Amino acid sequence: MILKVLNVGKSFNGLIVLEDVSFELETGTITSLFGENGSGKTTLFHIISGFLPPSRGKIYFKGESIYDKPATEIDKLGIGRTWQFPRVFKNLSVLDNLLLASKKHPGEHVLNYLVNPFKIWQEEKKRKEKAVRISYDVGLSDKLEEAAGRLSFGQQKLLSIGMLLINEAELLLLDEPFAGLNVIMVDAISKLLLQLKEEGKTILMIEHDRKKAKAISDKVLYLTKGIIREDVGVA
Amino acid sequence: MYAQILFNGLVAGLLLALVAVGFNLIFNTTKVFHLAHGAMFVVGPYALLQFIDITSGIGLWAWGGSVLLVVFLAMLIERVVYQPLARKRSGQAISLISSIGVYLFIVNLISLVYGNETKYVDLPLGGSFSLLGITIIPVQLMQLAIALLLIIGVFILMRTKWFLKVRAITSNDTIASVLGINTEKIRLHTMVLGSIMAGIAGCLQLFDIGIDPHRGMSITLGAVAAVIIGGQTSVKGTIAASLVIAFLQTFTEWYISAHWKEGITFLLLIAVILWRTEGIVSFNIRLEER
Ligand SMILES: Nc1ncnc2c1ncn2[C@@H]1O[C@H](COP(=O)(O)OP(=O)(O)OP(=O)(O)O)[C@@H](O)[C@H]1O
Ligand SMILES: [Mg+2]
Repeated sequence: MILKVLNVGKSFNGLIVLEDVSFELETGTITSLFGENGSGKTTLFHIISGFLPPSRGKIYFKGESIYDKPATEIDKLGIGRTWQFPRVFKNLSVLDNLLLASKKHPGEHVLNYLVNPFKIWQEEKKRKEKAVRISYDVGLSDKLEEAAGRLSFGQQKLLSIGMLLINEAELLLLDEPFAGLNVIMVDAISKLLLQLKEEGKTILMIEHDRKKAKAISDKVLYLTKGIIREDVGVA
Repeated sequence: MYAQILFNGLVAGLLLALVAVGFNLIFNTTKVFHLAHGAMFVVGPYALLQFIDITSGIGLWAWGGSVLLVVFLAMLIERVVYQPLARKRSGQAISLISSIGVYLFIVNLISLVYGNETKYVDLPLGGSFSLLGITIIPVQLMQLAIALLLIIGVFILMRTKWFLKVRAITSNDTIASVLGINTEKIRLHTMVLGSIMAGIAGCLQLFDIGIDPHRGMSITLGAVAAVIIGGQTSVKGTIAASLVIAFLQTFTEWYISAHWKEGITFLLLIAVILWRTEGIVSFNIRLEER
């Protein structure tokens, strides 16, 4: 078990969005989260990834309590996420966006360049190769030098998935990865997610396209009226 | 004649570029219209003077002391003024006013302690000489060398992952922090780096035309013009614009009058803005993303 959410509740100024949410995710599985518009799915993602504090409840990631940790720390622990509206650096190229998302670069500390420039240069080359590889995975290989702000909405979405892939998170939270994407790309992303699962990653995704999502899911969660209901073995 | 103007313009342009690149880095990461940058331009040389006095020589100790003081002050301004304002999400107008306040405080303190007269340091570098019809003062060669070295250093920095983060914060600091980039740390870095560049530029000016406590503002306004003309985010654009401005200023000084130096800078600024609002170096993103 990689993630355990226990009795999480969230209300905004008296409006109860999440009443009592509990569920667990097994390592190396794909889980879909369904629910009506406004049922609180994105809010749940905000809470898990540390961008919103829950009103109550507990969250454990690999046994460690994370419900009161800030977003940057949760990100470092290995929970990556995409946003329903893709968040990319519009003034930077696709390649730069991907490189920025890759973590634990020895050149994070400028002074390391003085100590061992060769090692960092090699590392940089490796990162770049990886970024290029990922750009093929998400179908943006011919857009590497293009500013992200010039990409279409769907392409920006693909880029944000690419940014998640490069950051080597263990648990990926995807907020409607298929919405707005062409069928061919949906199938490509589905394949990619299955491949990630093979590599041992855990995926939780919000989707409205139930058929496409169920096709690759090990488990389905329904969020209704602030409570989670679970279906196992639907695939 | 033209060769002389070009040479003088080049030296002045590189000095301006130091101040302007510093302003560029600070402005783009902190989003503060950092007019107190002009104070750093005078703190550097006054600290250098003080340390020359203390160590009775212009060696590494004096330079080191000057740079350290600038670094300390830059960190202080960021941590005590700019960062708290940013955390409170106060707007650019507020941080601009605060920056002017910081500028006035520092400059008036310096003029209180050291007086308002212009200070010089004479370096024993020998008299001017002639080369290809250009009269060159050795101090100018030193200015040229140090400024070039710093700018080359910036170009090297621009190839690092650290600078990619600077550009990320420039582009969108919310997304940057969402991606786990420590924006407050990078802000502090650019404050320190940018201030060192302004401080050293001030020191270099100490050796020829001299420094008084109020010299920082006009060069900072020139730097602001260079940053805007250069396209705001582009370091290369800022350097190019600094050179153009300095050539134009030298030319004006030579053929019209030194009083018109600043006027001409802002005429250029207005002309460029009317012609291209985004500055010279820029690119367009999708209509719906603006
Ligand atoms: N910051 C906020 N302040 C007040 N109410 C909020 C806030 N954020 C979300 N809500 C409310 O919480 C509810 C759930 O929002 P949320 O975005 O989580 O829904 P969702 O399940 O992701 O919907 P969709 O499928 O349309 O994306 C909505 O009614 C919304 O109005
Ligand atoms: Mg949502």
